[in-house]
Amino acid sequence: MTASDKTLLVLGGTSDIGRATAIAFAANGWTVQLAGRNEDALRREADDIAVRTGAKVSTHRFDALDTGAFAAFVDGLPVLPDTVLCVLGVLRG
Amino acid sequence: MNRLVSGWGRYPVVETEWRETSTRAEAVAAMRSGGGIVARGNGRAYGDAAIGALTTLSTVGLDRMIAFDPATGSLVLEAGVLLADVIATFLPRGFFPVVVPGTRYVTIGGVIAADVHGKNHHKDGSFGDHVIDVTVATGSGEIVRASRTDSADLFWSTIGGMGLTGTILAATIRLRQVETGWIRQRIVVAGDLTAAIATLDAADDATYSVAWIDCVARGSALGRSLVFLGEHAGRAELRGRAEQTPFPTVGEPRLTVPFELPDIALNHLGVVAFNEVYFRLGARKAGDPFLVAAGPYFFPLDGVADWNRIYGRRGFVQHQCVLPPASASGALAEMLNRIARRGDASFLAVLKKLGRSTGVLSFPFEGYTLALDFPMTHGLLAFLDELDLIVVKAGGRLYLAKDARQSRETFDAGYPTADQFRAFRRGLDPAHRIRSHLSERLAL
Repeated sequence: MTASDKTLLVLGGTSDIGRATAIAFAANGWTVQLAGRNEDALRREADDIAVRTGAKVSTHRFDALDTGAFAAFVDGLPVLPDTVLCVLGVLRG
Repeated sequence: MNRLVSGWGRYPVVETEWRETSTRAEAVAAMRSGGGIVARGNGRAYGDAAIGALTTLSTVGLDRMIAFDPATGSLVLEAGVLLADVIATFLPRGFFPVVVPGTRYVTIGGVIAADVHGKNHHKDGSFGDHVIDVTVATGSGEIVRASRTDSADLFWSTIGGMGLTGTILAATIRLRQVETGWIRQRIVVAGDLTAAIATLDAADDATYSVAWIDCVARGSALGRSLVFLGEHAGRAELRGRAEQTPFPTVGEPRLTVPFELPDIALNHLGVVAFNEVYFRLGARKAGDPFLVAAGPYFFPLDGVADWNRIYGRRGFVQHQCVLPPASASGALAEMLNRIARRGDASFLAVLKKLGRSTGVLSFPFEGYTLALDFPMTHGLLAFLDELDLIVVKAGGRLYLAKDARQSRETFDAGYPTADQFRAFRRGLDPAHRIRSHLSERLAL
């Protein structure tokens, strides 16, 4: 399995640490899934990461407090991620 | 929050309210919230252009890239992205900004607002010539996308408009394709000012051309120069180390100036010695072309972080004028003579040929531009006023991105479009919300 086959899911995709980590993975050939509540802000980060790295980046609406929607959220991902980074809550800038 | 703010020259230092924005919504809110505001990028304008009359709005948080089309080289990005970031991202992919100034630590908004030029202005125009559109938050808080076809007045006034038409939020710019990150450089020695001008004239076909003038030289050697010519090197030209690394990293600064040097550091003897050594080293390399990496070629001073500190606590002032061809050589000789006589030699003196103008308030016009650095000393401002008189008499003008002190009279004499710009601004921003220290000084 090469890096280009691998996928990173970032929960809290608009946080600074989420962005920095996603860029580092994307620069190494990973596909990135950014998840969070603010879809406009997610799109902004996704476009930026895609332009900088050439990686495939998708955005996914996700609210950590809406636990009932978790199953639908996972079902909605294009592929199951190889790595999940959780930078929710107090880490949000 | 209030903060002491200055430009790269560290003169003047002014206290203003400091606001930061990292989203369009915050920028619009700031524009609507009060008056006396101007946007600021990375603070590389030398004087008071990016200091708000009351509030300075930092835009470096607007630093996301939006889209890139490799087929056309067009890049959409937010205004706070640094040119350094663009180069680091796209040079390894074979793209380079068509126009770069002497530092890459400038924001896209800043280079558009100042309509910066590079060593290729005679051939490729200024940065504004390669901007496809700009998105601006005006003084009334409206967001307008302007291009050559839509809101064209706003487009041409924003290019070179020193941030006075609104806060630039985003832009589409064109990058050029390059085969490598190397420049084929050739150095030509010019024994005096006439030879320097003739060498630049003869190099109209060169993509990049610039002359470093030894400001210390007097008499028959007045204006002796090293003229640097450059072309993007093709893949087939690379040999040795360059062949192994066709796109050398444009790295971070290797040196830093951690504190302000004492005022004695750049004394006259030091500059004399530096100039003599620099001239001889350059002359030794003159003749056959050789390869230089794009980083040190375009941004030699970026190798030293915070180099503005070498001028000490009092800061320094740049004086950059452009002079029309008919009067240039006489006016340049007079200025260089006065500088050499004054003894307080300029450490950096650069002569460059410019082409036609772009934006309403853009600095360049066809002629020759001379850029000089002066440490702030007693009597300097009066001396620069004398240089201004020479510039005005010759039909020239000063570069607003470098300016910290010219009078309104000098400005109006050099910029015949100033009233057109003022009228456009009155219509766009009737409440006169956007005001910088520069705009107040020049009644813009």
